[in-house]
Amino acid sequence: MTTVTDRPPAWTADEALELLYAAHWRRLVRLSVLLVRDQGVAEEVVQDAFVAVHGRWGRLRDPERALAYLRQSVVNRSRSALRHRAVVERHAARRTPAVDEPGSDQATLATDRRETVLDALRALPQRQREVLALRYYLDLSEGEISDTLGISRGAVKSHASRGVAALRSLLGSLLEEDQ
Amino acid sequence: MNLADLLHDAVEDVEPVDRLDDLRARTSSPAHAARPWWWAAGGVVVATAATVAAFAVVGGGPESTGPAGHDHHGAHAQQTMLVAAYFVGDTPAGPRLFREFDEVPSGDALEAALERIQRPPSDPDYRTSWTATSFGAVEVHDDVIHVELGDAVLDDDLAVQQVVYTLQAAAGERLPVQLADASYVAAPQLDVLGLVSISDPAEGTAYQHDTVMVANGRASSFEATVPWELRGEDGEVVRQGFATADGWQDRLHPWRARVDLADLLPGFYTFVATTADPAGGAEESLLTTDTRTIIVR
Repeated sequence: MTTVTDRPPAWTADEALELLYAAHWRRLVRLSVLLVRDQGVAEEVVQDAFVAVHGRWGRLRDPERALAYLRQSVVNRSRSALRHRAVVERHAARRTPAVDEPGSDQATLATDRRETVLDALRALPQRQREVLALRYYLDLSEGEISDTLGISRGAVKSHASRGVAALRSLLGSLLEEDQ
Repeated sequence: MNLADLLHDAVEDVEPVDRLDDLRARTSSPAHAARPWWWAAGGVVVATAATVAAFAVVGGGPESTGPAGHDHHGAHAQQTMLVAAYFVGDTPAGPRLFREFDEVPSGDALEAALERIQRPPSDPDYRTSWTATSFGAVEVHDDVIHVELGDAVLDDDLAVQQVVYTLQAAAGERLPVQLADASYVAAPQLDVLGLVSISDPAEGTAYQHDTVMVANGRASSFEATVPWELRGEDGEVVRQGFATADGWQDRLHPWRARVDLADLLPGFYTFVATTADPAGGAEESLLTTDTRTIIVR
């Protein structure tokens, strides 16, 4: 399942790692936060994905393929991390002390809105959450999402429409109708 | 806000810690790199020992497959067993099924196998057609494997065969599989399986540099020849040879290769097994290939 060309890689694995890190570290961590809801876990997940892509650079060689592999790896690893009970427990522990800090109303509103959106995402079935994050956060096409998740385009479509419907009912007025 | 705005907004205040130094450290000492972070926390998922996998192929029963020794996470010894799980991979002939052996907590063999294919494979070259909620319970009665449907949609023949092959392997016999109101039997191996597959090593297995890696798998390859290579991180071939399978017609036949790891530098390597090229000179992309990443320490 590997296609090898005779063209030597333009970058070494170390160079590729640095460049990919510079370009995608923050965005991929944020993607993972949308999936696992916990920044610490997201950082671990994405870091592991970068290590994996470094190890496979000899086979990937191409920045686009490497990015596709990274994305897929982040989604798969986020899924595995979620199954790991510690995530849930740690998250619960972290959330409890949230003391009310009477900052500006604007800041509180923004924080509330973010919490509400992340909570709503967490309430979705995993596939719907993944499809929505890839579609609306990474702005991937149906075909790219289908490749990333290893599911058919039809399945991408149906997860997306069910996910949007579910979010609409969970988020109410936060989500405008004109999608 | 529309949905795209809401999602961007939801993580806008997430400023990840800079981990570039950690990454540099991890990628320059590969012995630690393939160990997922949660192993340290006592998780058990990925590893498969060569010896145990060979055992499981023969035995297949849940009682017979307690792994003897995995030093790297032995401290958290928990009863585990191996399941043979089939996943989808790409070949020149289109998507086909490949088998991997995965270590899972001990339990009902059928349940564990069905659960395993509803999670991502260990080998990132593969994928699964199913999600955590695709199926419910599974049990055998009257010599039929009955599977309760979750939200699975049975519109893909290969995806259905993924379930059939995996459950038949877990049951240890080729019983029909009842899904919804239809009954399925296994399609012929040569129609649905990748024509070469690696059972051992498992993805991410680590070896000491002065040992011999014993690889094995199954293939249906011209004149039973299974060429293999071990490639370094930049794709350079550091070892090569070929195995001879027990046969090559009608179905997949077992093959086995000994790969001497002496004098290799520590790092990541890719073990590649391919089907043989009867004509000679064919592009590698026209041959079926299975790969595993291994670590040499």
